Amino acid sequence: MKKKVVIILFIFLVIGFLIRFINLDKSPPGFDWDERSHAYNALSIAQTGKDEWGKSFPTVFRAFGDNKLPLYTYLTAFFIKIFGMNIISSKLTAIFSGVLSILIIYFIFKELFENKKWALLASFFMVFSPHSLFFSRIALEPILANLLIISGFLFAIKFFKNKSSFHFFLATIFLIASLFTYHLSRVISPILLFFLFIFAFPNFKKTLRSIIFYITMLSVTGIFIFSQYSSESVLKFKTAGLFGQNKGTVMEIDEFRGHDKDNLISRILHNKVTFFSFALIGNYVSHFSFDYLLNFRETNSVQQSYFPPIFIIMLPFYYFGLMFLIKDIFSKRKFEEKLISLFFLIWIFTSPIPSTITETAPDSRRALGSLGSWEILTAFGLLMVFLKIKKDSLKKIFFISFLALYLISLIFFLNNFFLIYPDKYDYVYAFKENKIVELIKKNYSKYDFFVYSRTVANQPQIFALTALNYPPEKYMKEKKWIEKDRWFVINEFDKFIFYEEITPIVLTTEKFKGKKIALFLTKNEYLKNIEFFKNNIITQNTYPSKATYDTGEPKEILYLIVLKL
Amino acid sequence: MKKITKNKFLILSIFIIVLNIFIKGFLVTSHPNSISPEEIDLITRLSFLKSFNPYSLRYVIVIISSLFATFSFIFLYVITKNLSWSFFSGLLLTYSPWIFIISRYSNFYLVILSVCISLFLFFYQSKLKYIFIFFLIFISGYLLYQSKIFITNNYISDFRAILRLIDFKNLYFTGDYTSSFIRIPKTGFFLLFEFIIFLYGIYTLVFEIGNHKIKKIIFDFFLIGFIWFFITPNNLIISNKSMFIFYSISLVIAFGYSSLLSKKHIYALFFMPLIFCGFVFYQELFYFHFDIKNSSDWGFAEEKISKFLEKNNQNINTVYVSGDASSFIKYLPIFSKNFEIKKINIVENDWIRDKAVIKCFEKKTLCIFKDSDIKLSKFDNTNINKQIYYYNGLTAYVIFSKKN
Repeated sequence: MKKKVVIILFIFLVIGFLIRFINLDKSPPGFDWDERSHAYNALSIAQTGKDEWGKSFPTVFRAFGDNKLPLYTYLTAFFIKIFGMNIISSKLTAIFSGVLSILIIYFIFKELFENKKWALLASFFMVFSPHSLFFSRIALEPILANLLIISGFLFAIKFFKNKSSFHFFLATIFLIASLFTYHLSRVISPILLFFLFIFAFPNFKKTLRSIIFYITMLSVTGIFIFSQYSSESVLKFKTAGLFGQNKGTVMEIDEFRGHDKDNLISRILHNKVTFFSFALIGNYVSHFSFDYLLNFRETNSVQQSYFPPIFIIMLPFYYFGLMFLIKDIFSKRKFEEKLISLFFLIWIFTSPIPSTITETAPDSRRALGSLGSWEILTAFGLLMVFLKIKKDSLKKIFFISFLALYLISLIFFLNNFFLIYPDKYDYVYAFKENKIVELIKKNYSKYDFFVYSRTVANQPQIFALTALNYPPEKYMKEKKWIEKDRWFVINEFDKFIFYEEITPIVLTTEKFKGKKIALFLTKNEYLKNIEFFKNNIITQNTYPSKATYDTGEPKEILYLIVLKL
Repeated sequence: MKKITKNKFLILSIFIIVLNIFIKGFLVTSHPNSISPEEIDLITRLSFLKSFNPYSLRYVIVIISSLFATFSFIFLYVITKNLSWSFFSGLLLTYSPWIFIISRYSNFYLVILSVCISLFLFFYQSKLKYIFIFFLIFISGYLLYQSKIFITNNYISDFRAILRLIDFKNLYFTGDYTSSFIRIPKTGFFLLFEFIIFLYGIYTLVFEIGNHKIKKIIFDFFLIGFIWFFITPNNLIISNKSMFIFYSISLVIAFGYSSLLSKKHIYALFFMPLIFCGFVFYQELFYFHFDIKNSSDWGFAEEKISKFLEKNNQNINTVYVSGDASSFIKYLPIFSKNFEIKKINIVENDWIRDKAVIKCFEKKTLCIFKDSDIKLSKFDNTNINKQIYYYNGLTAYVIFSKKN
């Protein structure tokens, strides 16, 4: 039995790796600014030991001014050192995180419900989990954060079962490590750590050694947690989150008070407490809703999964699983016996919080802390329903029917993921920016200047840097930049010059005279400027997205104009 | 003992009907503050209603809705002998936002809902009840949509729509996500905190043995709800398309309340103030914000323009109306009884572009346009003779004519 399980798990890991690895550059259909920023900083660390701003082994990467947490970049630096900088090496950290989580989910289920066969099913769900697949294929931190959280969770429940200090130590280490990956873990991990320490206290032996160990771990954890909440993180929370001035909810309060001419009743009913509570509860609940779990909302944003967290056939069993779990909590067993289920429930109910406090909730990236819980609950729900069926023949029919429907859903999903989605959504995934990278790679030596704006490419410098694997040392010295609203704006380096917008004025500067300039433009910029430079054009090309409107017009279009002024 | 229960039952029945009339009937002629296009359609269809004040007709719907809540309580009690569950179901039919709002304007849907459910429950002991109810809802659907039932539907998208509908967020937070017409701002179909009671109701229904009759009734209404959902057209607003499903959800919530009350009094007492606050909150939103937020979906501006035409009837020979601005015409027979509709000419965009600037300023002529039509014409804002506003203060119609 043990050997069989190992072989099956090994097969799952191989399939999990392959499915996360094949066509890596096609689906998702691009490599966006944040992914490139991680990759370039990793390259910089691998080559110089400094980030792009020249800071040696930073604990926070300044990047564009968004202060990226460091763990993903450092792990990627390791792969970049070995394989050089390319899309694959930049994404290997995410891929391995996704693959390892297949294994972790197996062990979590086994620990929670003591059933190896059904643990294999949970791990099978993880192999093809749409969100795991999506986030393992983009070079961003959430999937790594998820891996560390579930690893910490696994060792925590192992500790609750066998009271081993080593497991307690590992649980704490993994959860602390997750604090350095992504902002979602800054919410989830402290809560899990809090309950871990609370529940752990009665489970420790009352010896001096154990007490010292407990207090030491508690102090270290406390220091790490509090170090995370600098004034900058608080500011980020205020601006990126649901709260803060000029946010939708605040404007809504003003509108409603305006209707009532700001009278007393209005102020009692329409205030931040009532409206934010309403928004927060609504956001929170939406993470358990069909709308999110089956992905009925069309999202048009990069770094968001276009796929549901679970397949429709899994949905009823997910809810059953949740209900049976809650029932277990209210059962008349001893508290110690229910501790593991309770801790599992804490994870389930904590993980939507990071996404809840954002304006765009439910946000698949920030809600990725739930990844794994969906699969475990579905397998648990299936197990419970399976156990309720008395006849063996019916059990077989039930299981085979479920599997058949699951496989049909899976085929649809894979077809969508690899064949339909890349063409249909290429315009969302930094289409113009990725095209610019291609064109810079091909034509770097041909032109004296490459000029483009922040309208055509968000964070324009990162695309040139990663197109050329531009030497970080050189970039650190050459770049000209300013700070604007806490963001770092790069204006030029090497042959590259960036503007807010391309206008005739910016093109009439002295340095461009007699030079061959490659201009990357949006359609709007092209139409606005064509009159000005129509006599200076040497060549011009357009690059339309594959995605089109019903009229056949491309959803995005990039113009490359070569000029001699 | 029996007598005590009988008295309780009687008192509760009276309580429900009085509370219904009070909650649903309070200021019903002024809130909503205008007549909706749906009410106009109803009055036009049933022409004998034209002689009544369209606002006063709303009392009929209040009475039907109140009787429905009371009958529901009575029949559910007779079938199950579960007083607290049937009482809570009657209570939910009194204050739940989904039924509160459809009880405040004249419409067919509430009548269909009330008649179908009351008759189904009345004949619940009969074996023919299913044939009877399905016949009834098909007839209702046919009367409303004639041959359109079945044909206009796309079943896969309907299936998705049902899943969207019974989504927690839409049920308890968003409300009618397809149209703002009868959406109370920041209010779901049910009160926010009832979300927890609903989950508790489901939990007890699934895990508790017994209560077979209640489970069966709830299941029956879900089934009826699904059929109604599938036979009604896709473009029907979700509040009307889902009313039978809402009824069954109300029964689940009522079951949650009654289970909670029977087992854990303290929790039930904890929820009462929350529910009361939720009720007050949404009532304030209805009475003070609904008309402002939804004024373009109702007939405030249409009523005003109809009255304007009625007042100036003698001085007008021809009225040119753009296609976009023509929605007020159906209000004329109700609010402008003396105005002859044949004076109205609906004009195309080309006409507005080429001729409006001359024709609109002819003697005894009026042009009624939407704001967006002004861009087509050669007018500027100084040519505007009068503007008609929505209740929220935005411009609904602009009138061009020769200034006196």
